[in-house]
Amino acid sequence: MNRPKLKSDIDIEQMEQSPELQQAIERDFGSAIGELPDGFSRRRWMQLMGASLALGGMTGCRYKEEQIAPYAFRPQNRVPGVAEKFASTFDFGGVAQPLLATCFDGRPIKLDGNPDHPNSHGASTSYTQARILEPYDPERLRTPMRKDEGDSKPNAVHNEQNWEALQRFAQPLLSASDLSSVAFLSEQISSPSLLKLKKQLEAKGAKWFVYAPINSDQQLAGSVQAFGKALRPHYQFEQAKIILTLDADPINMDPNGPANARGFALTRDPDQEKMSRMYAIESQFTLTGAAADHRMSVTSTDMAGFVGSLAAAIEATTGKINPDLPYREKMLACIAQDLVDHKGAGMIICGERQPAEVHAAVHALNNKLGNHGKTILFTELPESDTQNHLKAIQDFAGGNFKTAVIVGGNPVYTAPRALKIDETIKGIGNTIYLGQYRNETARCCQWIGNPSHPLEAWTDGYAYDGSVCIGQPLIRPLFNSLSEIELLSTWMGLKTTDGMTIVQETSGLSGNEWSQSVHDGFIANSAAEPVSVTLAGGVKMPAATNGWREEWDGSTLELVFTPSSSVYDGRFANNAWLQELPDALTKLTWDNALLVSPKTYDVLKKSGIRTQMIANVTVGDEMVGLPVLIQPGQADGSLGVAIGYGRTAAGRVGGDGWTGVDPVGVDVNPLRTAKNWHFTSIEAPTETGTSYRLALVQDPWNIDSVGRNEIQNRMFMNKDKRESNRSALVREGSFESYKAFLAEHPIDHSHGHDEGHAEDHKDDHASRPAKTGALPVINNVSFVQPVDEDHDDAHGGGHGDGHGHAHWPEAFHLHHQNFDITPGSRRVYEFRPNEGPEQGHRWGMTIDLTKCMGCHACVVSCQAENNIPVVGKDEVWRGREMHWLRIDRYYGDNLYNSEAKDKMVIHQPVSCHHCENAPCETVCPVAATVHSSEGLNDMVYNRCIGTRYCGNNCPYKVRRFNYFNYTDAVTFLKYPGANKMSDADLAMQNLMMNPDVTIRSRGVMEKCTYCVQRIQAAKIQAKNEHREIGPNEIQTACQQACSTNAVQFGDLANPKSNVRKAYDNPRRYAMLEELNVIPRTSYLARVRNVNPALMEFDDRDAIRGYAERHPEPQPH
Amino acid sequence: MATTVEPILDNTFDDPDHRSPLVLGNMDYADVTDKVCSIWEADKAPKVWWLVLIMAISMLMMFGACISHLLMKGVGVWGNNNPAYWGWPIVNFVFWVGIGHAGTLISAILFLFRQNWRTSINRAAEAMTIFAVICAGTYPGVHIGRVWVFYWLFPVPSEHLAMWPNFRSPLLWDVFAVSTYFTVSLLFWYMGMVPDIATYRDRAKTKIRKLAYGLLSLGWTGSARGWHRYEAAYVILAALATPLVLSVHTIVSFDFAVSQVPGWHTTIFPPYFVAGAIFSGFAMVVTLLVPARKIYGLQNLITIRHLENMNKIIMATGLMVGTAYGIEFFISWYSGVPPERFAFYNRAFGNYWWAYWIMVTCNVFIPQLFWFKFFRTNTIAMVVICICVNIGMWFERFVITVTSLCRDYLPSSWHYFHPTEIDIMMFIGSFGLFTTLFLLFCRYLPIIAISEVKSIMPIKGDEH
Repeated sequence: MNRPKLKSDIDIEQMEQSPELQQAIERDFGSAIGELPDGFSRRRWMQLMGASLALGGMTGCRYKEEQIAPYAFRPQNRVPGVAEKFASTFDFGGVAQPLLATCFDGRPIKLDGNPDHPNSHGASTSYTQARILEPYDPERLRTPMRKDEGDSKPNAVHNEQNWEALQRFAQPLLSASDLSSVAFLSEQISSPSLLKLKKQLEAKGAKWFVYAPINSDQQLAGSVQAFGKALRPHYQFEQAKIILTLDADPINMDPNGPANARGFALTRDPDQEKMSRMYAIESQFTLTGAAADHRMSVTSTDMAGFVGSLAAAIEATTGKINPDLPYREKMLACIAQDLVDHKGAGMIICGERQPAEVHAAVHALNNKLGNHGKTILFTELPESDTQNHLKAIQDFAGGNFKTAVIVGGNPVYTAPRALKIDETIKGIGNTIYLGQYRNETARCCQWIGNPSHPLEAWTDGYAYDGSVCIGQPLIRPLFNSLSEIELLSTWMGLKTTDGMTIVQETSGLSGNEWSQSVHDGFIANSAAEPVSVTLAGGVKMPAATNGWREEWDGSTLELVFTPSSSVYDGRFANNAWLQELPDALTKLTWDNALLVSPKTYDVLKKSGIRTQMIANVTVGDEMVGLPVLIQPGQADGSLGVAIGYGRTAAGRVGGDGWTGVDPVGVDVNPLRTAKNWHFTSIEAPTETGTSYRLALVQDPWNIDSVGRNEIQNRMFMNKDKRESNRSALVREGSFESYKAFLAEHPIDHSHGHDEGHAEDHKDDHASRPAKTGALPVINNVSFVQPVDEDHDDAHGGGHGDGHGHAHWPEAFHLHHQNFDITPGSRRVYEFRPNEGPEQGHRWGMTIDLTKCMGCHACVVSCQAENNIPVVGKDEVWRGREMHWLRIDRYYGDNLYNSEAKDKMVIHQPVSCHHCENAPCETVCPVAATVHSSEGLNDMVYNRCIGTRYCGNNCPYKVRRFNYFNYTDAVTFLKYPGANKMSDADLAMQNLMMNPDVTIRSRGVMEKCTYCVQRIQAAKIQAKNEHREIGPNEIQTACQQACSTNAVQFGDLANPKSNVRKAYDNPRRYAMLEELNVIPRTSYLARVRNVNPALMEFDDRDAIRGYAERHPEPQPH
Repeated sequence: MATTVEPILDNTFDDPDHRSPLVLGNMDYADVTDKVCSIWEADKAPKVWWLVLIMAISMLMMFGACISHLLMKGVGVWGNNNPAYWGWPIVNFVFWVGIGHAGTLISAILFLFRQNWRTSINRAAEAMTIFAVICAGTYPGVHIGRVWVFYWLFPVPSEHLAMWPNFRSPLLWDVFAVSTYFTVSLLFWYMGMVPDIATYRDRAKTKIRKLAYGLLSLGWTGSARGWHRYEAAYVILAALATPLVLSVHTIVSFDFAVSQVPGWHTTIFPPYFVAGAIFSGFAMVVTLLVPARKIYGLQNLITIRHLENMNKIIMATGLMVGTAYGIEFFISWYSGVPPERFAFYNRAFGNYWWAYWIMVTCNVFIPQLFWFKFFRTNTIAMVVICICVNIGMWFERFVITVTSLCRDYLPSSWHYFHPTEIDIMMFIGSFGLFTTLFLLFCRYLPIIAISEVKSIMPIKGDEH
């Protein structure tokens, strides 16, 4: 190279002029440089000007500037991108719900039960799970509002105002010394702080009314009749051996539902030979009825008569059941005998629907059976609940007040319409509504204040057991608001107006105790002490009647109002997750319907009424048109309908007359009167001839008889032959037969505790008798021997029967020789510690059908965890709901007694089974769904092009396809009014997304991942801490939400994991195992503790060898 | 001349004395050329042509509008749902691919079997094949969820994807099968047309036509050497195309047969699909040629004998399809697999019974009329029957696709399939595409293989 020689003493100018440099420049840079000294050429000038114009213009095109204030010092324990958990609480139905909130970068994104709380132990409900949507609802009010002065229209326009203006209005009214013309109206109050304020207000003469449409009026009145005071019952499910529910749903639709469900599940452990027996007598099909061992439908009207009959039957127990009694009589005799046999270990639970007299009678029966103080405890109530709600709202309506402050609730919609609460409110001079939405009630009020959401504020509350929960704010108020207690304190002119100080003062705690309580979410050992009760004299037993014994005569009809499993009393109408959550039994979304039993339907059909068509229901002068839906298991003559629908001012999800969003469902509140609050007798509904689309996620159209028969065949067994079918989707057996089985093949409960003996394990495993023919160890009544290759001929089928059910799995295996060359091998899961491609973790899941009661909390939990979109009613109708986890519900005939007319129900949660021979994987042309080394069936979203072939080939139909774009804020919650909101408003919803889970674009398949993000998080954490992942460290979202612990998840390769233990349970079976897809999700067969006296068939014979060894069946 | 040819139009009798003529009306070579060229040389196309073309183009525009709507919104505009992930689009795809079978079968297999009567109909049938496959190809193209990455289906070596497609997937086989079939059919059709295009070129009067046909005729001079090469190439292509006729629908049937959906997972599908495809393809050829020969006065070239032969094939394949329906039921019973048994029982007696019985009526019962010579030789009757066959064959695909998916293993997921307006409009629209292409073909390309027809005409002076 001919470079100029540079000397240190040559200055730059000299250098520039050296010919060598010029040459080098010319050589290296060409003519462009040469142009510079002579000024610009025209072309060059154009180039530069063009470029600068373009570049200058581009300065306008840049990303929006964002102000980022990085932490100068990272707050303690805050790792960006790592979720944190905080305890908190909010109120539901007058009971504080202990919460554990997951927060991501300062925003709560998921709510679960607080696992430390002694009452609920981490159980949660679908309501709790779904309420995370509330703070981010774009339709929450953002400023206080005031009715337009000159506007006299019935539903006046409200103008936005500021807090100062509202305070100027409210403070003089509430801080006056005489408040006798001021009325307060609220729902049940669980907050001690609010109760304290209430007392102070009442001391100054104010009236405070408590009204909620779903309340405990009857129960408390019954308690007053029986014991002379209003007491709250606590059902000790863990202690109970015999449970009788009367028109009650204690394990689901109950303020203490999750805790009851948990307690109930603890008594449902057939492996430890510990099983309670539950009888459910009810008019509507509830989840309690579905979970019960015996269910009998009795109309709500006849329930009192049933209680009378029960009292008589308890008197008449002889210790023996007459086998010749008709079925329903026999059932009553069995209940009575069981209750008498288990004095002090039984309980009778009466539902709120029944009148006070029935409650009192049930108290008397429980008392007589010695259950009080053992299985049923009572505590005093927080003060507010002792009011009679329906009387309170009547008093409010007739009160003639000058000022009214309505704290939450929506009485204009929920109160008996005859009271005309809207007129009352409008007639009061000064009205303030405090609530999140401009709902029906708010629209009648002069002022609307928007308090903070409970997750944004300091709150407190009494949990069901009376313990005090402390709720810390999880996020700063999104809209510059204050909580109710802060507002009231300010307006009352109190000194303390700061939320935290109020709550702390109420709690009376300080220092470490306070910090600990805030951390825990509740004050330790603050549960209410049970009080002892003595039965007051004069409790009258209702007269025994025959109404419940006899077949329905086809003429009397009753209409029963039930809380909605989706919108409760209407308060969750704007919650799209809950609106799209299928009802556990009807599987109906986005609607309520008039539920009729098949027999009732046959009668009504004569007058032209058809399912999925509108029928007019008349009560008094009010008429409401409702779509009809057949609900097997409903009491004949009992029509059920859910309240809470047909809101006209809920918002863009639930219906809003102002923005033109049609109401969801039909408002049935006009039919309710204070007298007939829960049920009423009605005339036959009349047809309208209008058809109505109901968005059902299961059995979405009238299934023909071919389909119905097949469902029966597949569900439990071959119905005609009363013979078990190996491909039965649901396996079930009686506790008696399972005990007999366990006597033959005891479960080694120590199994799995001996680490490091993997080799032994294998042998141990193989030799365990429970695993021979490994599958239907327990099955249905008159179960034909599990098919075993060696025994095929012995069963006398001969070759002529060679193509019957018994043989076909083998036939199928021929197609799959490559996968399964062991002749007749049916072992679905075989643990090979040192073989196979998977050396690491082997993730798997089990679901115990004995424990699952179908409450759907897992479904919402999954939805929240995995950013699952809502598709809206039309799309659900079309069959495009996106839930990754669904709960299949099957109705079946009673397996144990052909006389029983009432259908049995089984719930089966189904999500991706993560098959080892996954059928979806082979058919995907672009390899977008592939197997991980840990056995997960991974879905690669950005590889997927959406041929949907995988969905077709999935036998479990768990894959979900994004038919439209649900990714952005506008479409994520695709509900009726979504297009009527600004993008900016909708974008608020993005705040609740779980950032650990990808949001799927249009045209992509998605499905359950076993919460792979949680698996990865646990792996990373374990690796950072140089340790193995604990055997039960990872919880999937569904598992976490499950109050009954039905779901187990973990590493099958770890013998200590619960899931592995469940896998070794003889009740375990794989659904559709004959397809040889080898699913990683297994089910544990359902065991029903059927009363032997009610069993027509003895399914103990099903257990191999039992009949031979015990020729005389043991007396029950 | 004209003394030896029977002056009757009925050439459907088989006289052992001599072969029935395949060209009637005392036509000589020049007449044939004039006749076929007259379609194109006419100053004005027949009014019917214009009428149908306008309708077809309207339908085609609707097709385009539907596809744009689909691309903008997502595949949710169709009625597909959770159990029935495949609905009408796949039904239509299989339907059109099936239609696209007759052409290549006629040109290749009948050629190899020296069935001389093929010469009058093979050109139109091949064209129909090409257009049907184009219609078919549209559906899987837009059927996928993310259309903009459709090319991921092909083994494109690209950095972006960093991997090959999944060669185990029948859908991938499908991509290869259909594209190969289309390519070979197109080549075969075009190559066979070269001498006739050269005729058009030679007779062209305007410069544009001269240029266009000149380019398309690839410099064909009609030299002996040219003919020699042509014949050899034709045989080779025919031999190549023959297995493709069988393979393409076999592989399309694998989309179903390889899966484990009850009602799909059957080994009979490949032959059954191929028979069905020939069945529907021939029916479509008859449906198209009967009006075409009438409009263009080609009764002497496409004679009743041609049509009758096709009707015989339709009846034969219809019987095969009917047998397959029966065997499916037998096997499902014989297998003893309960979901399989249910799938077939449900087809016939479940909530989709109407579709099943439309299929059986149209595909099995109605073609039995072809046992009677009247129906084989009456043009109106045969068109009605052939339209029924195509309705039936569409329903066959519907029954297979939708009824199987709607009720598979888990009753909890059973769902009914409701088509949307877009489904219906796109199906109609695909007929618009097909008809438009076919009409343009009729107008601008020789619809009868002039040179081939001449090869089977009795040479003058050698009538006996």
